[in-house]
Amino acid sequence: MNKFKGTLILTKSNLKRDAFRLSIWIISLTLISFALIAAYSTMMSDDTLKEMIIMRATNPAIRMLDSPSPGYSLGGFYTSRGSVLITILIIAMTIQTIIKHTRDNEESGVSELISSTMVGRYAPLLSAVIISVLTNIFVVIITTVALYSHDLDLLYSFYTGISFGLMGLFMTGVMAIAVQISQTTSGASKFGWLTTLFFFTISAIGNLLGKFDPNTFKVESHNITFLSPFGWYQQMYVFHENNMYLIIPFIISFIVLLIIGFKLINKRDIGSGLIPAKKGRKDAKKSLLSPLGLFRNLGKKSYTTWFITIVLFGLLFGFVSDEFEEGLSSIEGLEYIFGSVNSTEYFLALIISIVIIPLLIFYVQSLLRIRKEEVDNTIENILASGVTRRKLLITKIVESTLNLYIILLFLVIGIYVGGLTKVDIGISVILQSAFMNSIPILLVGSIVILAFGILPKYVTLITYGVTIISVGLGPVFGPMFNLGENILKISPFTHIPTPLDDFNIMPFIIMSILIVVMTFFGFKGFENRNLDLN
Amino acid sequence: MNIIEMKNVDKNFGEVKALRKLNLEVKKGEIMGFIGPNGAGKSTAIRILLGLLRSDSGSSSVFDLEPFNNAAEVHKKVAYVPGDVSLWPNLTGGEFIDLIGSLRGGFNRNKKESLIKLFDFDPTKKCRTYSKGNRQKVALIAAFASDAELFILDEPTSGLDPLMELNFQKCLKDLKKEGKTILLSSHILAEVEKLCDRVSIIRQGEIVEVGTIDELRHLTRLTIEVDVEKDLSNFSSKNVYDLVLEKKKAYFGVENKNLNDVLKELSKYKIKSLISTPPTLEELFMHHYGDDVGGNNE
Repeated sequence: MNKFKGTLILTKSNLKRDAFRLSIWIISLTLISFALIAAYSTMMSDDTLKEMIIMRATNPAIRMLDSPSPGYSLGGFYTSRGSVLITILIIAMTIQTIIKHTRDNEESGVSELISSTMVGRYAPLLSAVIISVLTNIFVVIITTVALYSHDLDLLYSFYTGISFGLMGLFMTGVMAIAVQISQTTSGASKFGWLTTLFFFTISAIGNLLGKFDPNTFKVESHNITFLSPFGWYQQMYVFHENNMYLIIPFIISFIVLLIIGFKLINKRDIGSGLIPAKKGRKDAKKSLLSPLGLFRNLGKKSYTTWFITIVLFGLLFGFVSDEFEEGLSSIEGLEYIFGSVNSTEYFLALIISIVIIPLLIFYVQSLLRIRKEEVDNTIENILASGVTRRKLLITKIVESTLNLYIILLFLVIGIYVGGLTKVDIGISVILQSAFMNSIPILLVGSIVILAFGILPKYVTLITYGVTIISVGLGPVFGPMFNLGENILKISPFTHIPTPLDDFNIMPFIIMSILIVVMTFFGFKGFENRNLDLN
Repeated sequence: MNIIEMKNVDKNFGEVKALRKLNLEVKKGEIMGFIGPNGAGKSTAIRILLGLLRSDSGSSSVFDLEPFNNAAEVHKKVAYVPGDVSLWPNLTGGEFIDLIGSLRGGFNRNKKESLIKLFDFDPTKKCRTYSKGNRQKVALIAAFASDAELFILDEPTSGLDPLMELNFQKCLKDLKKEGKTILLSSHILAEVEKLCDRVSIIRQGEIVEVGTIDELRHLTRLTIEVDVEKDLSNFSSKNVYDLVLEKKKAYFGVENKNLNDVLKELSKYKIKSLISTPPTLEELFMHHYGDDVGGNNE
């Protein structure tokens, strides 16, 4: 039988089933693309754009997160500042799409049904790849139209779209392999994100170690960036150099990844992964035999991953700190932007507010785990075995919070050790700053607990909404949107004094009260509601 | 003494009426069969008894305690096997059994070992790799290894092969000998007929019959096969169902209460022999559900 047989029919039916999710993605990406270019074009009228480019290129943290600036132009600024956000969204969309039409179907048994009909073995993956490629073609069109509508050169707008779409193409290839290797949906998703993080870090380091030329407004990245697909699209320097030959590595890697992905299909059974399930313990270890033990066990993998990632992050920041201090002080006109601040302290505040973001995500994810137990019905096992709801929720909160502070502590040590011989900052200053920033994390956590108690069906939505708002309007990303101070105050992180500010205890008192109140009502809600079981 | 008592319990999920004025009593030491098709409200009733759901009105008690507010206390004496067993994919079956046992406050390790043998179960595999039958075994072993007083089993044998089902029945009989109380929800009627002292039949959220199987039989139709001397061809009666007539022979069903009338009518034809068959539980069940097996969603 032809191994690709049925691909067309399958693709049609998949598209129909997935129409809603895909349209949400396309609409969101369209809105974001138009909003970004509209926001940036207002800056063109005066020197704001020039100041922004200088500020972002000289700020080490932002330079890591941005695509390197290709020069002074609206289009160049769009690719430099907007592209990382958009490519990350494209990656999220691609990861979701491929998983949905492969692993998801296998886990729910749909694949078994499909495979028993006249559908070839390769058809589900090929169909997923086709859908993913189609959505990424949409991305190219959206970007082109969005930029062209603001009077940018049509060809260069198209190039920009291509550079984004190619990232989706690359991820499609990565995910074609991920869904073969991993046995679960979450495993495949993790594989996708870890790959992204890995390549992003490479290009970020490349950008970090690069040079900024204040005359041409160009950031020349270190060559290490060419090891990463992020580097490939960023080094196209669309609107200035237009190095479109960098399409080649994308196409080659896409084909190679896809071939590997299809080859792997032959090496496994439907419903299983390449990495076989190991034989486990016959009896449980003592340490597992309590709600705390259970939560620790369930969260072990995610905790370890976050722990390593965040602490490495801290080490890296500590490590590169002196280069930035030098970089910062060597650029003329900086005082104009920063005022006469001690750049070391400025730098520290910046690092802390950046590394606190993954910590926040870790914390809310860890808390959300209890909701997963409910949705999966596994909570029934615990709550029908003599554990009270109160004890269960307390255990979850204690476990998550303990882990949060353990990571925080090691993060601080990481930053300190990384920058030990270079920067003249005491560990207590770092610790203090990190600790102050942990209070908003707990606040967001208490919103999760409240939502879990009273609006369990929406807790995931609320959690990510609140997380995105508090990060988006926080000190790292907030100033990008030109929204005005009052709107930025919605984020609790905005209220945390940096080492540059005078210390003010009020925000902490208010946040602590909010945390206690929301947690209290979260408990009340959970203890008095129906479990949301299937 | 009643271990379980539910009186006039209502439970709605939005528009859906899952339970309507449900009454259920389970006496100490008995095996109560709780039968009804999918969606009749069995699992909802059980989850109220376990304090996982809150009833809208009516009263429930387990060991004389209101289950929602005393859930943890009640559970110390209860072992529960859910209808759809959800396990943590990363734990092994053995770990799961130990965990549930110790959450409940201790269990019998020797019992666990012998049950693992009895059910021919491999406890070293990760739960995500177990088939439905094996997931069921995990929950059953965890329940049977406990020294609970009350066992609430929600369709515990779905997915077990016939051999394992026999083992399950043996376990249940042993529990009964030890004086344990069991609520067995099922739609496998042969199993209920074999094991249960009493049966409650639930339909669209209400109990329509309760009693021993013998008692219930009296409430429903008998199947009658009768031979007569005279020609029966134009026999008819408003009291019989599914009448099949041959020349001197008739097959039909009749309600218990109408038996006497029908016999009087038949006696005109001079009865030669008569075979009366009591209904099986299945017929009993179909009697209540025949028209619309389905009920509303749980």
